[in-house]
Amino acid sequence: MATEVIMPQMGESVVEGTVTKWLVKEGDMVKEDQSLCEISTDKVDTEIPSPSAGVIAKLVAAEGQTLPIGAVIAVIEAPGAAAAAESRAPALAAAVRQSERRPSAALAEAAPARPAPRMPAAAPSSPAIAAAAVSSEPIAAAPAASVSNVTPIRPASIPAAASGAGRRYSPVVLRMAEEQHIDLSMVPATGLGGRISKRDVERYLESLRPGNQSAARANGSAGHASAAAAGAVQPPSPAGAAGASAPAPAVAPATAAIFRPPVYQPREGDTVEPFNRRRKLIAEHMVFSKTHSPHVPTVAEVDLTRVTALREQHKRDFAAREGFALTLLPFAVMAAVRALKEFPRMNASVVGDSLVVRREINLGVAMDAEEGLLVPVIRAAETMSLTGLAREIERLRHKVQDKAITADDLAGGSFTLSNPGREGNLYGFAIINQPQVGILRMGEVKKRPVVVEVDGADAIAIRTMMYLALSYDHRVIDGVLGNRFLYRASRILEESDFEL
Amino acid sequence: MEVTYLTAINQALHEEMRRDENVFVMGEDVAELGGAFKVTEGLLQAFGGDRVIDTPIAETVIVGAAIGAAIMGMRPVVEMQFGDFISCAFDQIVNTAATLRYRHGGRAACPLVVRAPSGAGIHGALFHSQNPEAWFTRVPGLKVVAPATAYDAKGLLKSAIRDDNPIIYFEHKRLYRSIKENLPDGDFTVPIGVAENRHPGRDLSIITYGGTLHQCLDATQIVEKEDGLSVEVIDLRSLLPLDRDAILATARKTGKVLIVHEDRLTGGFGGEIAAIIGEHAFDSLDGPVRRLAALDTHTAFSPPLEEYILPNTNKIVEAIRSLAAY
Repeated sequence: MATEVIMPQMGESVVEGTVTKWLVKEGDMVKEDQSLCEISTDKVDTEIPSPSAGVIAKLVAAEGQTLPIGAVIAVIEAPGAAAAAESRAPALAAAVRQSERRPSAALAEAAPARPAPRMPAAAPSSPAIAAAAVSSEPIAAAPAASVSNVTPIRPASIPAAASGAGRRYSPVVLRMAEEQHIDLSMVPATGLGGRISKRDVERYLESLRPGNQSAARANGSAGHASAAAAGAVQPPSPAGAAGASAPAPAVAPATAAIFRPPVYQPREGDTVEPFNRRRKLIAEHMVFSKTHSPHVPTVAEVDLTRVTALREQHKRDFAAREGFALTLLPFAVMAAVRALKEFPRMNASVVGDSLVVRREINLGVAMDAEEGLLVPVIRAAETMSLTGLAREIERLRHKVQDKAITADDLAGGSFTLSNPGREGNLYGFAIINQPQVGILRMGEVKKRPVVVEVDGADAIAIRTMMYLALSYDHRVIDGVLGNRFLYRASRILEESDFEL
Repeated sequence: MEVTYLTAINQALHEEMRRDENVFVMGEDVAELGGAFKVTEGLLQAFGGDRVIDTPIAETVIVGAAIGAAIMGMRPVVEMQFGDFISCAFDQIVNTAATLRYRHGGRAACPLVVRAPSGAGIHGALFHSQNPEAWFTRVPGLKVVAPATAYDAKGLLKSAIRDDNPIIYFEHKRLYRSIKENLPDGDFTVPIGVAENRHPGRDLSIITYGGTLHQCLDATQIVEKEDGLSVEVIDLRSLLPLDRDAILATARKTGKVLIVHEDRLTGGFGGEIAAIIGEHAFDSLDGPVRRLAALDTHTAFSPPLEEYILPNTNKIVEAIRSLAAY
């Protein structure tokens, strides 16, 4: 009796996982619940426990291979049935080897450990699936994943980006992506069920056209001049508006996408570290955020003298009572939460062409982790006391450390606070955690001479200072709102009206 | 002067019979009565009983006799009182008229026009509502036209009468007196095999012919006003030969195609159009090619049921919206 080990569901939005390391090998006896392998998803890293006791008949997934939820990754035979499994193993092994050979030579060269491209279920390039769109019948669900169809069907002509996002595209969208060198993951979708329509691609191309911005300025267009007065960032013209007066070069509508870095020439002593799954996702997220949200960086100076005094006063009792140290972070979180309550539009998401103002404040706190940054979320932070926030931060920090963070710990944030801390960080601007509209970043805490007013007279005093930086999305947050929010957050910190 | 679709056909018959003495009209009640719908009214008085002939109720005889006359150099225009009964003459049309040229090394012509009043929406029930065009569009040797305007009705009938091949001319009964337009004075024809773009658009294409053209144009106005959608409407006018270039051009332009016809869905001509687009414009498609047609049943006599079965403006509006959102 064989038991199939499948890629488990690890969070609501997780669609696939990568087998990063096998902890057992074929032929091993395993006990129920014994860890079989380590997997990583776009949200969490975890281990898969054995669903039953038996002998590992076959490791279906190779290390580094990415498979959808529900795909078979291993087969376990009940003790005594191992002989029967032998006869099946070669065929399965052949299927796996076949799938390993397919990734393009370029990918294989650059990153030997890179996960294999995704399942055909997610690939729009299969003619059979795409052709189904021609009939008026509802498109049949993608075939269930099985060992044999791991082999991705991807004609060389279709750009990797087009089939990489686990979505299906219409033929014309795929063709335009190829012709115009578009990464479809960058195109905002307005079609039914989140589909990218031809119009979406056209609008995206229009927004990339460099002629729009510069040419409109050069022509001194009155409409644009007045719009520009409102802020530094020029919005892309709607289709056709500026196009008539500023014909863009027809050859390169997507100039930015055409740049290719120079080819890497290996030198002795260099080491190649292929992106792990998390790094890849961080990279995609950061590029997406920077290209979609015009970030406005703003910075405030915060006098932390009172807060640090308050912390000094309570830190011994706090540590004795709670069992962990009281840091500055919960104070900053509390200040952000209170300011967000006053300016709810900062606690929001961009969804398509809408701003969704969130009722709950689910505050993400950036935390360093071995494989890359994680942003666990403090849920309903507006309901918590300072001690409650501190406890929640501590609890999440432990989970990050123990690699026990779950996808649900990371989902649903409505605003983010980043604290890279320590020396050398006077201030810096974080990249917005999409689809949120703003992110605060704490600078270095340092004593400085500052001018203060004492009894109506100016004096120079030594104060504990910090720069608090806000990046906000200028598509939806105007300068006045961004500034007022930042000012309130810094004042709340300065006033230090916190209860411990 | 504004003339109806019906008058336009009547004018074409008068003018062609005056122009060419070989043209004559045959059918049930076409002479004394002037036709069940009065399409042939006045022909008997103008041209006499030798050229405007009442026949027995026997479609196979009407078409068979006309084929013989055509072979001998006449140009018969016969009327099926209702297009539904064209099936009685099916063998004469498909096996005799359509094959003549092929059987005689290209030397035999069969300049025959079969006028088939067709279409539903007039509470005509099962035997007086059919759209039988798809039975003929797959027969080599025939030509099939389906005008949707008075101008085309007149111009296509004239072209059909002057053509040396057997032509099935579907005239939609609901259009007879419901549409009117100013026609130019003097002689004009409309070429067979050429579609017409009735409303240029950008977001989506409708391909249609015959009676549903006007519902499509009404729906286009509604979505343009209420949804800001720009919809292109192609009127095929001829189904055989088919203007494939026009079909592919609009599919490539908008990437989304809705096909509308009053004939039933299954086996209807829309399937052929969808297949052409799927085969030749696949990489321009931005959504599934959709068809809106009569349900796969017979047209009911009950007005609410008839409405339920047939395509109409509201159903077209809904179909446009769902395809545009795709």
